[in-house]
Order: sequence, then structure tokens, then C-alpha cells
Amino acid sequence: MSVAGSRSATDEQFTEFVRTHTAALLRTGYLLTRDAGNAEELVQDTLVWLYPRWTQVLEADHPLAYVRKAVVNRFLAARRRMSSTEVRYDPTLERFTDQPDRRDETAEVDERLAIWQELGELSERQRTAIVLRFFHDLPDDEVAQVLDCRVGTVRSLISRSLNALRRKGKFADDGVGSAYLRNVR
Amino acid sequence: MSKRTLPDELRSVLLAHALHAPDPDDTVHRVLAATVAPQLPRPAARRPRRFSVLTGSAAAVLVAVLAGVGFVVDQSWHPNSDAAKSNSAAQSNEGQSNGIGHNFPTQQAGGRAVTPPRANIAPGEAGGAPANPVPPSELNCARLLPGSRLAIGSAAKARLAGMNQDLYLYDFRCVKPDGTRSASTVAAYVRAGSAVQLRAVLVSASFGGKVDFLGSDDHRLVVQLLSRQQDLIRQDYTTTDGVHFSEDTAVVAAACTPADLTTQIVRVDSASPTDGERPYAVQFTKHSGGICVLSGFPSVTAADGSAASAVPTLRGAAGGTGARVPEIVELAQGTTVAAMIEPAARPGCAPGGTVAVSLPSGRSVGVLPADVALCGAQVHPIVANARGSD
Repeated sequence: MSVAGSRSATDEQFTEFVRTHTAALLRTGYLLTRDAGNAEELVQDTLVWLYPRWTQVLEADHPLAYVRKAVVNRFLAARRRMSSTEVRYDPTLERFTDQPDRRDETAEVDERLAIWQELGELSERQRTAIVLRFFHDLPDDEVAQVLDCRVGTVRSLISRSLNALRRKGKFADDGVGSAYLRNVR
Repeated sequence: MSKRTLPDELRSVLLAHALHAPDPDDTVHRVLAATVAPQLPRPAARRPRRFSVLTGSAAAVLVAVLAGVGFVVDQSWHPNSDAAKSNSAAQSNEGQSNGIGHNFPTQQAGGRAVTPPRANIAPGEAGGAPANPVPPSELNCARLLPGSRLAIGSAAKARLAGMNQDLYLYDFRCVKPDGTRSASTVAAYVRAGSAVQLRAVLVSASFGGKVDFLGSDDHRLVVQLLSRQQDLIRQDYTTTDGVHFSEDTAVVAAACTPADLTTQIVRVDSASPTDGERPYAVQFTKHSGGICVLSGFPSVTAADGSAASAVPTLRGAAGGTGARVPEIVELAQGTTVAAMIEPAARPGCAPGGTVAVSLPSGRSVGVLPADVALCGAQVHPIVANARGSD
């Protein structure tokens, strides 16, 4: 196949991937950034950045997982770069905060709202671990691959996060500890 | 008591909120337009030009007033004063802005970074301004910039001679998720218990200025801001009671004009190399005397009538400065600053050989030779080095 033909085939595969998976990537991006505009920017920039190296993506065992890892890495890198001087007015707290936006526009029960808000208080790595573990249902070893850390670190991140979230409500596993927490300790 | 486990509840919350994710159509379109199909009509940009809408009569009134009164800049305070200058290389990479509201001490323009006393502080810092000021009631982000949220860009604490209490200055602005921001509202507060109480609005958003720096000395509060016409101006406020303020205004540095600058487009190495084409930089070198300022994105369009143009971006594929708004860059004679142009990985059009460049103020610097294809290209904000990127 000619170089031009090969590039054309890659373009077609890239286009197909973008059309098929952008919605899913935006959902992940939204849960990480908690902001629609930032989620769009995150996913857009990641895909444009990956385009020149798309053959590498196609060679991966799971291209979607490869791209999702790129989204996560870009999210964590962007948070490190963010200005540390701007603070944001949080109407739910009626004060300014330098924490990520925890704006919520839903009218859910208090307990769920509290959990969503608490997710916004977690560190970026903790929140990423939670999203990958409980939204994408990735096992701990795959979460560790995405975060480039040890499995033990993932369990520690998630354990601390769950402990923080547990303070926001009463759950069926209260008192005995969740299976996850028992496995961690 | 809930009958669900925490992991179950957590999955439910995440699934529910994932439904709030943006519609993918716009993102798909933008990604394809920037990669495999640059011939696609470009949708409305998510990052509109920050300064293009800032036109109006107030600036003209301000300039007329300033010209008539003939204010003099306090050279002992400004970092580009003789006392503040050093022999640093004009194109040194040092002295980059470190974020919103902290631009002032880090301008280079041939001078070293100088930190004025009692400079900007982040609200909530130890010994600084309390983090919970109630914004002035006149500040309505839904009206000023729909879709934005209220933020504090910077704050300052001041104790003026003759006053027995501290004053706190805050720069409020409305910021959209894409980084677009409104003009600043600057207000003065005094401490009341653990909180602060509003005393006066010093600069209204209707003035159209964007704060660069808040500070003070023993006798005055200082607000330095970029005006609607992109002049860097300084407003001094004096008070004896913390309620009534007298105002004094001076131009620190006018916006650079095409007559001040020599402009060229060159190839540069990217700080974040990709497999795509090497980026370019639009370099502006000041050849006239004095100081002028630039802030924002130059306009870079094809000069062949194809209407192809580079889209402004703060953090494109090659990274960016990390700042959430374009920094204000001061130019002294001989200084070169630049904005990076990042070509698309596979542009859908051939280079036209020439491009038309305008300053952030909209004033054209002319048509320049450049072998860059602008379809799908992005342009970064002007920064204080010759590469156009950190």
C-alpha cells in the first residue's frame, strides 16, 4: 500500500474512533474536570495531540484504553500547570475557594449531592482513581497502569477517598466496612 | 438509612453526573477540522478573542482626560524605572508571568524582576486578605458574561498612613470555562470580625479594565490595569477614612502600535515536540524608544484571500504558558516577544507564502512572508520571549 493510501486508511480509522468514542471520553472528562468546557478542551486537545501518532494507538491492545490514559495524563498535567493564584466563588459554600469547581445543577437527594460535592474536594489523583474504578469498573491493576503507579498506591488512594465519602451518608456497609476496604487493610 | 453500599451509591452518582457531559457533536467537529478534515467549516470557536469586544467610548473619554491633564508615571515605583533595570538579556527566558494577578513583578523588557512592597497576594494566604469577601451587589456575572462564574484574580492588603485599620483590595472578574473573562471590578474592604465588609467599589466592570496588579505604599492604594484600548494604566487611590477615595490616573505604558514594532515570522523548536510540523513564531521587536505593552493573541490570517486563519488557543497541542489568561508583556527598545503559531498536523491547504498579521488591538502590522499553512493552525498568546512558548 502506498504511503498516501496508508495515511488515508489511518485517517478513516481515526475519524471512526472520534465519532464513536468522543461521547464516552467526554463523560470521563466531565467526571474528572467537573466542568463541561474543560471536559471539551481536555478531550479535544488529547485527540488532536494523538492524531500524528495514531498508528501507535492502533497498535495498542485496547485503543480506547490507550486514549483514555492519554486523557487522564493530560488532565493531571493540566492541573499541575493551573495558576495557583485564582480563586473561584463557590455559591454553595458562599465563599471563595481555590478548590476545583464543585458547581452542581442537579436536584438530587442530599446524600448524593453530598457525595458529588465530596468528589470535588478529593485530589485530582484520588478522583481519577475513583472514576476509573467505579465508573469504568477497571480493576485495580488497570487503574494502576493508567496512573503509572503501584497497585498498592491505587488501593490507598481509593481507600482514603472512600473514607472521605463515607462521612457524607449512611450506607448498608457501614459498621462492617466494605469488601473493598477490608481487602485494603 | 440507605440500603445501598457506598460503592453502589458512588456508581449511581457518577453515572447520573456523566449524563451532564457535553454533547459530543461540537468536539467531534473540532477534532476532525483540526486533523483529518481541515476543509470542514469551522464551528464557532470555544475560545473567542479576548479583547476584540472591548471597544467603546469610555476608553476614548479616559484617554482624552489623561492627555489633558498630563499625568506623570511614578518612575520610582515602576519596575521599568532606571533604578529597577539591570543588565539582564533582553530575550532572557526568565521572568515569566506566574499567573493571574502576579504579572507585574515579572516583566522583563530588559529589566529584572522587581517585587514592589505589599504586592498581590492570594486571598486566604496567611497574613493576607480573608478569602470570603461578599462581592459587590452590582457585580452580576450572568449579565456581564453569560455562562461565567465569579472569581477573584488577586487581592492586596494595605495599611495607609493615618488610618488605624487595614484595607483589603480584591479584583473580581467573571470567568468562563474556556478562560474568557470579563473586565475587573476592584473593591475595597475592611475587616469585620473574621470576615470583611465592603467599603467602596474603586473600579467598576463598566470601566472595561483588566487588572494586572494590586498594591499599595504608605499613602495610596495602587490598581494597575489594562484599559479597553490595551494601554497599561495605573490608578492611585488615597483616603483618610476608608470610605471616601480620591483617584489619580496615569498611563504606565501605551499599547504597542505597528509603528513601534518590527515583525517577522520564523520557524522555532517546540517545547512539546509532536510528530507534526515544527511551529512558527510571530516575533515583535520594539525598535522605538520608551515602553509599550502587548497582551493577547495576534491575528494571523492567510493573505491569499482564502480566509484561513490561526485559531487562538491558550493551551494547544504544544502546551502553552499555563496561565489562564494572556499575560501582559512589556517591551523596551530592542526587546523581542512572540506568539507561537502551531500548524495542523495535516493542513488541508497549501502554504500561501504570505500571511497578514494584526496586533491584539486589531491594528494591522502588514503582510509578511511565511511558508505556513493556516488551515487548522492555532496561535498562542504573546509571551515575553522570542520563541512564543514556555
